[in-house]
Amino acid sequence: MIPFATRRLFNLFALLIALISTLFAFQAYSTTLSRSQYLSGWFLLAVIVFLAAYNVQKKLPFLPMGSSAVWLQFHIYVGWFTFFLFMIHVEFRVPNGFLESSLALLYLAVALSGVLGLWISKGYPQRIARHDRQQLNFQDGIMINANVEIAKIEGRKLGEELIFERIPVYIREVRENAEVLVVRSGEESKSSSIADFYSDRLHDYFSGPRNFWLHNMESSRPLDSLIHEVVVLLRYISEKEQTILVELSELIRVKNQLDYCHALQAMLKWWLFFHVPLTYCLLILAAIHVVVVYAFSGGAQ
Amino acid sequence: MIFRLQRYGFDQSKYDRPNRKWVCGWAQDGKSCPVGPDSKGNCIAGHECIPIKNRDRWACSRAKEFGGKCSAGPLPDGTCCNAIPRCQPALSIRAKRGAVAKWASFFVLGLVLMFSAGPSGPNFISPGELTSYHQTATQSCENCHSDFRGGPVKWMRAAFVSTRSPQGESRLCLSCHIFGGSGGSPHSLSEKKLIRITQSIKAKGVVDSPSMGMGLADLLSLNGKRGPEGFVACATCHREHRGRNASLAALNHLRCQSCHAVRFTSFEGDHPEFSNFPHDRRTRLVFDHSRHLNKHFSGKMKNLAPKSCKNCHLPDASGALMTVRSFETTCASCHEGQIFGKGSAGEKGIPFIALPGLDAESLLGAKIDIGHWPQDAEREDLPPFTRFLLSGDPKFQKAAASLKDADLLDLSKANLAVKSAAGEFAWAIKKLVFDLAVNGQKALKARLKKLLGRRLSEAEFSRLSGQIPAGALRLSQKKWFPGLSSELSLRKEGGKPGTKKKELGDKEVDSKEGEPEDLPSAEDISVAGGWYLQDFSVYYRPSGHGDRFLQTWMDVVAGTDASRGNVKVLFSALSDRKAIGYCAKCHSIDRTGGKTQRVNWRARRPVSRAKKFNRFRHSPHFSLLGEKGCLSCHRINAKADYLKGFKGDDPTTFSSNFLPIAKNVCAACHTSGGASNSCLTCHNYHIGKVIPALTSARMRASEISQ
Repeated sequence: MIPFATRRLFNLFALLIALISTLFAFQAYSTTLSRSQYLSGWFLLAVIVFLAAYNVQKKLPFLPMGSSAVWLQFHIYVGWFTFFLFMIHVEFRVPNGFLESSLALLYLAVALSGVLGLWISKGYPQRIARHDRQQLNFQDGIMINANVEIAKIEGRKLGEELIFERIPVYIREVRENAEVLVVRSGEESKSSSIADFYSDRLHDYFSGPRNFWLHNMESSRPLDSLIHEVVVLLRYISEKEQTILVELSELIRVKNQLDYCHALQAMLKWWLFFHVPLTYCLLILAAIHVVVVYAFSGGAQ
Repeated sequence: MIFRLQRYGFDQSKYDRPNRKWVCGWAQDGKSCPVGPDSKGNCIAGHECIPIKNRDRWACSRAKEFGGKCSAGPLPDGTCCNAIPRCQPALSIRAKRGAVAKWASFFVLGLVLMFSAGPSGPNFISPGELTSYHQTATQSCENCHSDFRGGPVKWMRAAFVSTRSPQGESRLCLSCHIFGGSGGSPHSLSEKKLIRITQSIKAKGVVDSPSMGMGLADLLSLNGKRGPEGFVACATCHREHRGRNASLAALNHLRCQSCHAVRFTSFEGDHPEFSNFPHDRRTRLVFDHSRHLNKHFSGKMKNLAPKSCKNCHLPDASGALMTVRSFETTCASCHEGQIFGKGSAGEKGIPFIALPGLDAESLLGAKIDIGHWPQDAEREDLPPFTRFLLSGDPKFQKAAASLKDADLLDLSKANLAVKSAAGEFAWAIKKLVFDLAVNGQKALKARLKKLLGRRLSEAEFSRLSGQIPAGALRLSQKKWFPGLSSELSLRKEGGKPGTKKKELGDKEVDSKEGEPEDLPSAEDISVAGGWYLQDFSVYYRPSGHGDRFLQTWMDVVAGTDASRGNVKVLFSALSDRKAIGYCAKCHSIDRTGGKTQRVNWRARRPVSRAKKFNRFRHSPHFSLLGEKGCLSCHRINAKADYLKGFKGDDPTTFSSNFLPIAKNVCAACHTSGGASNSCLTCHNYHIGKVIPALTSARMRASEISQ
């Protein structure tokens, strides 16, 4: 298998060659009396259709159209190439017609969403893997005072690659486990401290994916806040309750990890909610643009 | 306590199918049913399992991944005891994305249809604002786009079916911007002329050295077929809808060379050397700079010499052309007297009507009756004007042809045929004199109309007549032929007017009878020009520079077919460099057609709306001139035989007073990094006369008054 760095270097080189060749070809074409915008327009449209065909390839995996990985590579680099073609087509100026401006904005929206998607697709899986290895950030003093081996849960890995569609199932499982612990604390300690804490602070937390944007921003505040409250509560409860609360805190951490995975994996899927629909809109407007251009070409050659 | 959330055993977790359109409604709650919705999104869940009957007992068949066999087991009737609560199936993420894409597409399509079909449709599809020039002129899209009127249906058709003429929409442009008959052809030149130019350029053997881009275009066959027969649509170069302040003339100047037989990469590089620039013809006014500077402006004339070029040349209003200042400012101090004939030894006026001397005695001897003929008339031949006015008379023409080699003053040795011709000749002249005396300018107009073969406007005839006074004509007749009226009547009736011998001598009418003997001649006192009668001639003396009589006669005769009547003779006489008035001394004469010519009354001057291939503005370059001034570029060619170029009437055969300007003079500044080196800096694409479109709206007094 070709290493990623080598592959990227090769692809970038191929992209550079394509850009230079295209630039020279259009430079040559611009010295003729033909309208180079017609050529660049059709070329751009053809390339955009090719990029959009990646979606078709995904829907028709049984057709011998090459692997999705190869298509993705083409999609990324040809996508960069379209931006260059787009600039040639608009002749490096801002379009000033309503239809043309809309088309240009739509193209830029598609391109930017693609760049965003590329950034998410490349960076988020690494973030998920990296986050999985992160340690909880307890303060040493608090841990000593708590007189419990909270340190045991430090550095513990979740160690799993979670399927996005199953995360609600896992959240449910974690919630059910947490509820078992809460019931047990009441039975064993005859105290409602943990139950009260659960109903006040944890019930909503465990009931579904939470802190979507904070996790996307790589914030540890949701977990730190809850753990801090757990640590504070540890001082005032019995040893039995402390043991249960430590177990509960681990479930809090697991849930936090599930939320993190959910937030990032959702982003991995949801950026396409912009990219794909905008692409279809772009193709429709481009088709209308072609009709308008040819209908009112004004005798251009 | 370590949670292992993900279970991978085949019987430990559900087999997910995220590519299905519908998912269980409980999935978001983490407890999807084992069955899931059908393909249409209907919940088909019933129970957690379908119990299996084993002999007479029902056994639970719930799968391990859903908890395995339940403790309660099936009901006695074989129904699962765990009924699944029904759900509202939800779309999978992929299906949601598809739905968003679909609705977004419909939304965009709807918006486009709504906008384009609505009243703001033109604004919606317009690719941008028009330039300010076209903002008000084109109030509707259909003014420039013929297919606009049909609406979206016709737009679609126009986009796919070509129904336009080869000229396309350019004909709409050309309805306002008129470039003549070849408006759409390259450079507005005819195909024939373009082929000729191309052939002449190729004949020079200049090497075609296209730029890298052009070479690549050739290689890729992107250039297409471009030739003199092609039609260049206006939109090829002029791009509209680029904003109010956009330049319609902005274009890549390399495109200019797309059609050219010889291409080059840059002006300062391999642009062909100038050939004879800026002289493409001889000057319209004959002025030998070299001789004036070296010869005429010396000695006592030195003080009259101009101090610098600007004494005679000033830029026009646009700063483009260096025009020649007026005659009064420049030449008059030395040459004005010549026009009036000052210092001239011969006649100072042009004989308009004149009597030639005639040997009437010999004619009388041969019994040829010419009536009275003044014996003192001594002119050897008819002056050109008189001959021209008589040339409409066939008898005169015939007689004049017979008298070609005859000596009219001595016909004693001539044969009878010549004498007879001389008689007809004399009567033709007498009839002319009588006609002019009786009918004056009316007779002159009738004769000119017949001779020129066209109608004369009142203004033109006024100038041609020089407002010749009737009194002068009648006085001349009275003095020259006192009994002319009765002579002509008798001749008409077949009688003999009677050329009596005694009338030939003693009783000759003295033209100066009754006048004091010491009076100066009429010519001497007509110092301001105009008509005067002297001896046996009616003269016209030029009234100064720009004399309308002479100028009009020269124009009319030059523009008349030279084969007509005695036009050629008259024009030759008037256009002689030393002819009275000296018009042709300075005003060159060009051949314009097969048999017509044109007198250049003015030096080159800007022609409104007429464009040539080359353009140059003098004014911006003045600040670059050093001590040499104009001579920095216009260097005098002392060896040139300037005047030789004016011997014929072909303006393109000439020898300039100045050396051609070399390309490097311009290329010193006009480089890619310096002043512009674009083709359009020095060349016009549209050449010839650009005619503004004029409105054909009818005038209605009632509407105008409102």
